[in-house]
Amino acid sequence: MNRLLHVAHHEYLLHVRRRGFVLATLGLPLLVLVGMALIVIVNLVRPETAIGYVDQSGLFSGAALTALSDHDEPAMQLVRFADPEAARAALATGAIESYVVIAPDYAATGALVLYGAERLSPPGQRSLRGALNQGLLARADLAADVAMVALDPLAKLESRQVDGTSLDPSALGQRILAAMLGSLLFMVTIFSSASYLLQALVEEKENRTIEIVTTSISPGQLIGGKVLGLGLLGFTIALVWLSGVALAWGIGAVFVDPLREVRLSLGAFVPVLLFFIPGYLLFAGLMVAISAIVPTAQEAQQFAGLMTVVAVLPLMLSVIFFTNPDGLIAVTLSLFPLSAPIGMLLRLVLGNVPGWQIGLSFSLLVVSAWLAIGMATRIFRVGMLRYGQRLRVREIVRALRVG
Amino acid sequence: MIMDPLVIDKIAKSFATQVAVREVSFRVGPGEIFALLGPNGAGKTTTIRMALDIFKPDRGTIALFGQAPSLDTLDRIGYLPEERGLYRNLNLLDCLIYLAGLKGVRTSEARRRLMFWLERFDLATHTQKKINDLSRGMQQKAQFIAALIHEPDLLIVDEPFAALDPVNTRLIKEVLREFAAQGRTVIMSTHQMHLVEELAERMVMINRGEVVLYGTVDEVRRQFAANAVLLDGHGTLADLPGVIAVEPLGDTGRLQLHLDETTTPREIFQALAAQPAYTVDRFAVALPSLDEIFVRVVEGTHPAEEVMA
Repeated sequence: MNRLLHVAHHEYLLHVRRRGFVLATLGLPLLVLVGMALIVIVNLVRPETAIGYVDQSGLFSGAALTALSDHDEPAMQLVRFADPEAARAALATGAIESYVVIAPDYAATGALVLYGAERLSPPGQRSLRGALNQGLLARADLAADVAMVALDPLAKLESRQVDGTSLDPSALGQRILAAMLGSLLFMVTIFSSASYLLQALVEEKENRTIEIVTTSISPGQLIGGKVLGLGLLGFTIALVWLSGVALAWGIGAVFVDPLREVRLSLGAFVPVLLFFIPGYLLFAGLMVAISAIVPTAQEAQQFAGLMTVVAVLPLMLSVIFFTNPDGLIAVTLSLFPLSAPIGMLLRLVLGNVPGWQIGLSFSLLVVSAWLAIGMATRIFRVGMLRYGQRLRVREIVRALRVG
Repeated sequence: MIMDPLVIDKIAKSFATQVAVREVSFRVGPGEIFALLGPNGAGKTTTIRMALDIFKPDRGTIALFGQAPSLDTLDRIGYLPEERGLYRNLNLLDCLIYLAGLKGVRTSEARRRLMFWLERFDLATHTQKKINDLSRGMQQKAQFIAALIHEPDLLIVDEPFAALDPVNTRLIKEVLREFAAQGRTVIMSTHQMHLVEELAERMVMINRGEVVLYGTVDEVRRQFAANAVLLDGHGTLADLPGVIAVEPLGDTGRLQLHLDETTTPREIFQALAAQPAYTVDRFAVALPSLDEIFVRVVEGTHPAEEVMA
């Protein structure tokens, strides 16, 4: 056990200290943070306190337009001007920050021109849109309460189950977000670890170190140590990425409302964790077998690429999962061990999966992971000393039978 | 009772259609330097790999320190493989500490032992260099250190002198002798026959997967000795009864006297002593070098059945 941990410790530190690893691991969170900073900066543009308007269409000649203010946002003033010259003068004195000229053919074309600014702040835009909506509705001479509903007819939309129980309308979006994040987490952790494992084993072969290593520890200890160390490496990447995204999200949510509204519970990630370990072990086993069979890193990567394509097939076919999560393709992919981790995750967050399918998928995955590791260890014993040569099918079969 | 470090009994191994080892048996005793010889492709490395449990033999048995090979027995073995292998992208110190750890040596203890060995092998100033940046000879020495850092009872070295200059060859010879003097065992596979003559007490020679020579180095050389003596001396050498030819060996003044089948070296020595006109400085039975024996056996001029000890 100590030697297994020695190998795991060595592999983890060896990779975690590499400059390429540090760059790759910190790159994405930094990118997300920069992106979030840009969103925040855009949203931090100070909303206007007063905007002027000149109504050349005559549509709003009745009551002056009034800016509707959100309770979260400071009230903005809409100031009517008789002509553009007056508005321009007010702009010059700083009484208003910009003004809009509503074109004479506004009813037909919707044409408006903004003066004094490149664009309105998002709150300014919302206020002006609300005021114009209100002005237009006022022309219909509707009762005040009807006019309020007409402003946003879906404002009070409530979702319920057919049995009457309440549903959270934002839950589906959040589930899809969880599915995507979960798939990403799975891909990052498992594919990175498996790819590092493949690289590490092929390097042992190319460095000719395997003869020394296998006379010091058992193939099981060597493979176990590498699988553990590099699994933790993948976990580290996932942790850094998730922390980075969570940090960026947290910072963004302070400044940007839509981000604040998305709530992701940790429970949404339980299925990811359930399929995580056997999923990784299955891929690890396959990578060990590939590294023992083929002579070079390049060939190994080609074989590994094929496995990866099968694994991400559910993501590539995600439209099918979103539209028909219980259809034949979605069910098949969620049961087939290579594609099950992502396939079942997508189905779990999108609908109600029968318990027997979850159990069957999980069992198939566990059994295939166990078989993969067991068979890979046997092939490894034979294949790792075949420097520069690929194992033949007959030799693989013999290795599997004899051990 | 001290167990023999290695006993190999009638092992055989085939790969696909190729027979690598047909039938090999030999025993290596404690505290000896034992030579494992044979031409390229004879089955030496496969035999070593079976002894180290890297391959399982198809038939036969192997005992390491009286037990079947296991991780516990392998911990008592140091191995310098023919295919040298170190982690090229690691620095020398990290690489050796990792390899020592695989043999169960704690990092702090490994560092302490490495300070001694790196100093002795003149590598102490290169500890932070990547293995890839070391010369072939330095890598060879580093690999040698990796084989003995855990202080094994049995050291198996495959071509230990390859890529080494005379100074480093002498250093490795010294270490191997010290190692054996401590009661530990060395199995050495090499093509440098003069070093076998110099270092090894016993030897086995494998050809085409079978043992063709086995015994002490002296015994093997005597088995191959022609009926001849080497003679250094001065004066006039008269005809000697039983000598069928006198062959000068180069410009050294040394003579090789070829004897007929009925004459023994002792009789020639007595005959020489009776010659007043010739003074003997040195008299020796002419033994072939291991190099000559190797070539003769491999080329088949001496059937294996006749030379087996």
